[in-house]
Amino acid sequence: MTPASAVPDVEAPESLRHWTDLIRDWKASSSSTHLIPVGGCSKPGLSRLNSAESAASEPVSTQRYSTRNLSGILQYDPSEFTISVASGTPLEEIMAALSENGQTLPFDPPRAPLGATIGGCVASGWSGPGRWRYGGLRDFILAASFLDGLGNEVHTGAPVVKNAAGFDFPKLMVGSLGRLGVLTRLTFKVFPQSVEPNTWVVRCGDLASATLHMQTLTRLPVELDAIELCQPGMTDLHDWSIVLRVPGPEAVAESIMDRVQRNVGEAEVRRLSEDHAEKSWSKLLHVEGEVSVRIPMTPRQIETVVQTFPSELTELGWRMHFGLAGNVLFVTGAGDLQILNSWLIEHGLAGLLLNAGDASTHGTQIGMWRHDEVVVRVAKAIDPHRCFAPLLFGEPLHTKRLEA
Amino acid sequence: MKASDLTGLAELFPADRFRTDPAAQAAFESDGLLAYTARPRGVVFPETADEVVSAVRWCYEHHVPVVARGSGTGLSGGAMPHRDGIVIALNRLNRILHVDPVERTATVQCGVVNLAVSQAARPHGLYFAPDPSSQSVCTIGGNIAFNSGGAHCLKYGMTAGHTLSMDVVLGDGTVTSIGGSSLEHAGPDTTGFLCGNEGMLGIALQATLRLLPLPEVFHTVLVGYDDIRAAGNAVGAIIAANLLPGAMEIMDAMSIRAAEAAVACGYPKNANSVLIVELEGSAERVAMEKEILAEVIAGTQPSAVEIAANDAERLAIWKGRKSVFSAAGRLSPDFIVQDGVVPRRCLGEALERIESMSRECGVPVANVFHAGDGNLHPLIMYDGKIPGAFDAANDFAHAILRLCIEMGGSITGEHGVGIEKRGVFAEMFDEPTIDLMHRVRAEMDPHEICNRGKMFPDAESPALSTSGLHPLEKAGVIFRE
Repeated sequence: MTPASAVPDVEAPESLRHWTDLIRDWKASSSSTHLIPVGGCSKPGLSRLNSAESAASEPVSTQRYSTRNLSGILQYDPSEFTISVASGTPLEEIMAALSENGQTLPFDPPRAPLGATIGGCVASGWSGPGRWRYGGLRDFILAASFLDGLGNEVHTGAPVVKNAAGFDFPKLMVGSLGRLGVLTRLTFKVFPQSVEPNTWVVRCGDLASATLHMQTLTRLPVELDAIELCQPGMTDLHDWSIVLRVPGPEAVAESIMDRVQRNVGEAEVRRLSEDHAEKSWSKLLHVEGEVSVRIPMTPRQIETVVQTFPSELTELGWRMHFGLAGNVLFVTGAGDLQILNSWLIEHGLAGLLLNAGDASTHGTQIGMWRHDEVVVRVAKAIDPHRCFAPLLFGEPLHTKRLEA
Repeated sequence: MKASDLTGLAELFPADRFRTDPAAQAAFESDGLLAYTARPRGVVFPETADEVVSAVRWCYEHHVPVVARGSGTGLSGGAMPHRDGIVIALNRLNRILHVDPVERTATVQCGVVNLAVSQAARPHGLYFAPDPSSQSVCTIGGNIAFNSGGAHCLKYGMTAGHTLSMDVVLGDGTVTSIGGSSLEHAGPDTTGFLCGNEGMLGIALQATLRLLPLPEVFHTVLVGYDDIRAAGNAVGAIIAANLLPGAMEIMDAMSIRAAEAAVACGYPKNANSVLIVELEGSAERVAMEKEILAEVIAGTQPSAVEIAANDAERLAIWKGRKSVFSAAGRLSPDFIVQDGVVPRRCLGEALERIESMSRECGVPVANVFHAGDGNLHPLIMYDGKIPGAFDAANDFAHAILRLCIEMGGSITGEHGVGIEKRGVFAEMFDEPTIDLMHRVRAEMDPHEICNRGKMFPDAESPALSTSGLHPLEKAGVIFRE
């Protein structure tokens, strides 16, 4: 894994005041350069200029600035099960503080060892395997302060575990990719750490058996922290495999796994050693590769995805796994993204480029991005002078007037 | 604008589905918060999404305010009509379009009743987790508009966490689809953003909801305490033991008395407060956790501990809790329910200060609250027939909300701001934040027709005061949280 010290050198305003000045000065400057806030650049593909923009008749460019100087834990009372942090705080620092008190962000924020910050985590919208049981970023974020396109800091949500006052900007910021403002402060709900979790693999043989077993397991009334589907070669050399993380204590986990075994027929169920489990989860959580792409999808699409995945990419060694019981596809490989992009468009899938590779000319958003009228309008309200790089969508499908 | 100006709208609907008669106006003059009323100029009853859209577009073009309404069980006046506008009654859009057990989703129209979703999902071993107390009546559209919670949102979260996508008509009549069937999403979470918009940005037409496996077993415990602080401390002890119950609810002495009088729930005699704790999950996990829970509770000096031995006893425990506010009608002709939130560590202090304020202003209060998440539900009692009594109760309610803000909490945990709390909205959010909310609203609803007069403190919203229980509450059909 690439160490955090390899974070590229991106200019970082020293304080909130400097950020405010930067944005306020920005609107007076050229509109052909957009600002993209970044954290630790652990997911460099997410702060790229989108292809359609770079090919526009009036070329535009982007300039990245890091929030890493907005750092530190602002408030943490373990008995309250909430934590407030500055947006540029490294995930590792937050997770260490929580761990000291037996607590965690249970959605497994990815790429902490690569220097990921909490703000980058929110902006990426990427929740890890623990999202399956506990919910994702959208379920744990309680409050978000951010700088809008006018340079005003707004404070949305509330630092308590339940709040229904005002429009829910904290959720809007999940997956906003730095295109809707600069996150400055964030508050999360936290949970107790899972007790003695251990990892099991269900070797399913072919894909059809694997999808069938996974559907069965997702409807069982048992607690599975995580459930991921891996193609041969990831956790097992020859078989499609379901990787399960089961919370303890030991006796409870064993009992749950007995039930799992009864529901998967002849498939072999085996427990991974701690070392093997750690390596597997690291691979599934951080999704490293010269090129890596995150693609939301649905469990029903798994077989089509596998059957139609471009053979050229498979021959070049590209790999895939399905996270969250088939709710997200991760693809890793090397080389140009054109084939993958075309395939995503053909299947109506939207991809987010986590790592683009050196040679790629593609932007952050690849594949088919369905028009989101709400984002378009909210972006106008937040950033009327288009200081931040815009999100790009396909043609609007909505209509002002329904046809008779 | 005169009533006759609605002629164009009337032409879009059959006569029996566009009503302007006093009976219809009166039936829709308030939601579950009866202290505020206003009669709409008309009520339309669309039966399709296209009809909803047509009505919104007509209203947009003619600058007529619109209030979308499901079953009218909201408690913040969020569905109170505007006197210059119309109500769009959405109950007839009540079809469950699809239940997908593989993807664990249900796609439903906005007028589908909350409980009906779980009933449709049950044959597949699934259910819809958000469970507001009015779930047998309230609609998914209303749940989305106010991001409803319920006793079990401590563990499972609010409606937003269970809404994956929706079709929505914005305030200018634009129809758009947001989100998808996947748990994951690429781009900003606009579905989550629109949940809880209080009907001020648009109207959800249909939604795809996330379903969860039905819990295999429940373990419900009723614990009596000599004072309410001990009950609050027990909540802290349970959380400190790293347990995450499905629900934790506290009721004070006055609430117990009301519930006992109304439904003879059989709560421990002489208890000054009761704590309800419910574990749920797989049989093996609940078996393990109930041992831990028993140990923790034993260390909190309870005066009584009762464990539900079967479903009937479990439901009896919940019946007492869920009936308490409507039961309060036996103690007082009128009441206001607040739902501010405080950090959990402040619960004890908040309750003491509420009691102190109650003594000072002479307005009695009973307390029920979702203890696990610090969500207070003080029940402020008054007699609306006494001049000034409502104003005194309302002032007291706002003082409680200010206390919540002072303690770092929120003015609403699940009921929304609506008409009722807009007076303190600006005390929770600063000017740049409210300004941004206004800018967003202007983009989504340029003529501000959707639920005009709600949430924002400077908005005009004509209303009258009145008193009494909601007719459905009187009938024991719906309950307040």
